[in-house]
Amino acid sequence: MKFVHAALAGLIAVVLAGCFPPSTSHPVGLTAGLKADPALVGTWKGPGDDGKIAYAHFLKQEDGSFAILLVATGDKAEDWTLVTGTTATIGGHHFLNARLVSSNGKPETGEPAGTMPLLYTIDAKGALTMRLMDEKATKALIKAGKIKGDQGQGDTGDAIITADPKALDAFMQTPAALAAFSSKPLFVLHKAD
Amino acid sequence: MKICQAAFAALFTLGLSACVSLPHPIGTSVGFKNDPALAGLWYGKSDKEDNDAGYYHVLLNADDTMTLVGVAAHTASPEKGGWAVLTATTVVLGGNHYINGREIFEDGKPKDDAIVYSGYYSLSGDVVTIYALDDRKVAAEVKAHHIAGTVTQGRFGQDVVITASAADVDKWLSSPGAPGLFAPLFSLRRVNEPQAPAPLH
Repeated sequence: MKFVHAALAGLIAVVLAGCFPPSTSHPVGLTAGLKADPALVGTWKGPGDDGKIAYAHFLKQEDGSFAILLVATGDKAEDWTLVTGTTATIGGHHFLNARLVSSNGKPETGEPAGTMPLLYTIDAKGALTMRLMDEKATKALIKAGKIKGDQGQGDTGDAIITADPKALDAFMQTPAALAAFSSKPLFVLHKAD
Repeated sequence: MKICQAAFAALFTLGLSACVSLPHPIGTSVGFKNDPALAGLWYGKSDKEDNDAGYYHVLLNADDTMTLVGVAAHTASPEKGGWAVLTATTVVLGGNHYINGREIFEDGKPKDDAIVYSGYYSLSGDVVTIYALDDRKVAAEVKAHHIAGTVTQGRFGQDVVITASAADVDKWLSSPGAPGLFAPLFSLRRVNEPQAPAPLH
């Protein structure tokens, strides 16, 4: 399977590499309520590492979640990926809890239970920036006892935050937690609609 | 799914709306070959209802099949977003371009629907128009013994079932006049994307 658009397929690429970004046993924002952020609904596009445009369609679902379709473009494009997500705003910060469902119709396997939290912003120019938690920073927070979790085995083990929803939501509003989100965006997109 | 809500829905009702059934995908006897002119992203908008856009991604696979990902985000309405995935093939017969599609996913759920929708398509600049077989015209062809089949009176018109072999169907649709047997269904406009410069490493 080829994943030619590294930016949007970043989530997938880490999976193919055998490790997953930090995940949480419970979605972030459960105590505040998970609602589909209307600002995300629609079609977004942005360049991948190869310069080709990739698309992310955020489709609101009846249960308040999102179905997110990531589709590559270009002459050799063959890939489409389905992600499900929920969104919440806590402490003024926007979170997307994402879970890979399938790639090209084939179910994803081996993904940790729970969801991957992404911190996102939409700036005044309409740019949607999403950041995953940094693996090392997350493990350091777990090791320091800042949040309950599992660091995983060795350097390549997957970090899983296992804190209960109340503790998780309180933690995610702290400067330490916010700083644990990668300074390098997973992707930057603009509305295509 | 609402039928005829938008171009998005129309693709999936290609065969049903025409009330013409073919025994095999068009081009079965000669083999399918992807049309690179279809690759990319296409866009259609309904004039009749909620003005929501429908996007179609056409992905060319190495095995000369295509994957069509159709998305209607419903940004302008409270309705939930919908999407579907089709596997498709194309063929050129006597200079006429044909497409066959079979829905394999609808809103994330696999479909084992074996119905293959077949149509004719034309490209003009950045616009592709999809056509479906016109039941009245095909019924006339059957009655004139130009192609083997049966014609019965259906609830909404004539139900035409072509019974000819794949080779005979392909030969029939190779004629210069074959596109005249089809009626336009919907048009989509290509979304041209400038390529962003690759980042420096």
